[in-house]
Amino acid sequence: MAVRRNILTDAMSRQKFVRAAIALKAQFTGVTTVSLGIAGPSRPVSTWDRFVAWHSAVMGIAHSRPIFASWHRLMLRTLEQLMQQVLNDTNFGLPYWDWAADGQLSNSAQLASRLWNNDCMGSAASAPGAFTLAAFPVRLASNNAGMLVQVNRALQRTRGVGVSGISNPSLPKKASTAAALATLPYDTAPWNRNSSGFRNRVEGWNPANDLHNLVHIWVGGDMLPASSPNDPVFYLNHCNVDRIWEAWMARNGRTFLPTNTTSGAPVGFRLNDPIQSPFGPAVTSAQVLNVSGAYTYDTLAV
Amino acid sequence: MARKIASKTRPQARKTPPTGGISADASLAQAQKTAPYFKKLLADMHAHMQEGSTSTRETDYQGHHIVIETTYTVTVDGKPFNAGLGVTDGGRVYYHGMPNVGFDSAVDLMKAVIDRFADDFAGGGGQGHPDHKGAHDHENGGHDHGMRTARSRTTKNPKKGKTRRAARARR
Repeated sequence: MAVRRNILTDAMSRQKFVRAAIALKAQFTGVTTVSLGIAGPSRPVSTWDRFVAWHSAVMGIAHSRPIFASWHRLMLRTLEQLMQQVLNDTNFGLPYWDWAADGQLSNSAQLASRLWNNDCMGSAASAPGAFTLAAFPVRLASNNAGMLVQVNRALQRTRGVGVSGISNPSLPKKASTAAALATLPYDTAPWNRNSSGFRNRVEGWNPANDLHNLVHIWVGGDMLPASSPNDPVFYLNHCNVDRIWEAWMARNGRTFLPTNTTSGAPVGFRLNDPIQSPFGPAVTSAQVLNVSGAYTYDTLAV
Repeated sequence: MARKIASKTRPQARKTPPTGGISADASLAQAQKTAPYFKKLLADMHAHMQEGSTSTRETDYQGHHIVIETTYTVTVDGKPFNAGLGVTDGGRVYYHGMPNVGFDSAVDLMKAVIDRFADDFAGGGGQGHPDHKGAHDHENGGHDHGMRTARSRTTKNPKKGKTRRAARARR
């Protein structure tokens, strides 16, 4: 069974993740831009890039909504299994980035983290390391209107720069992850960015620009738009979010709101509503609350 | 017969793999099964982005019911910016193009959009409206002119708000 480990301390997970990411980037199974409804000439779409298209398509469903955690769990577990296939290793577990540990460091030390070494994610603005333009070109990306368009360029990051009004941010702190673990219940009406509860806290809307959202902002570049799964760091971030969710459930019980009997709950976002996947049968949030038969984490100390 | 009916009513149970119900098949055949659904989602998402939107905030205070509707009308170099902006109850401005950021203002949001999507705005312009002598950056000016030019309005008539802003700028 897969055990998900810290990418900074587990060299094997790090090496395999990089190798599998590049393999899936180069895996073409016949899917094209036309078959996905993406404008422009018909071009083959790799398995990696299909995740970019999937995430872009569900932007209004999988974010700022109750299924934020369960939808991304589905996405990550799907990628993990496809990585296991290309690695021929059914025990491979996606690594996570414990960004709150880095967040305890000074801003300059955050930039010097081993995560950004060239044997891992790479440190230059165009993120070479293993992810060179030749090995890892960005082919689909959101434009300013949120439309997914065809491109051909290197991966972009602005690490630590931030965006207008949020200059030179720090990564999230351990105090924030601790506060998230103590936040009850899982979610609350109105089931969106204005909700209190764990989901909106860990997503990073309450308070604003914290935890998951802050990591997207801190990495910047291709991590900002809906096409953020272009960057392998996306999965390291979300694997840590999934770990925090798992820690929250270990502490507070495997509960999810809204249920299908919750008054006024939006259809499609309730416990037993199906979540579609382009890579397999739909699952419900209820089905992914306990994945102990599929993978575990080396530690739930977040 | 009874067995036939039972199998029809439980198709998911047979398909569901043992590991958390999640399976992964990258084949073309699997992609084709779900392609129409995801094509529609992508098309809906694109359409939604073009629509613009109005955010409604409601609260009760000392026996009064407050409703605030906010619609943003944004142009860049005179061209409409066709992506809907929204505002949270706490006043953070967001848009789906950068789904993980809550901005202090629509001005910051638009600056970030131009920074991130610089190629989309190639050619610039950037001189503001000819009458708008005050089209300059106020970040260090200690006042809020920039906020007022693009921040949330509580009117249902965007044109009315635009006229007011233009008049204020001329002054």
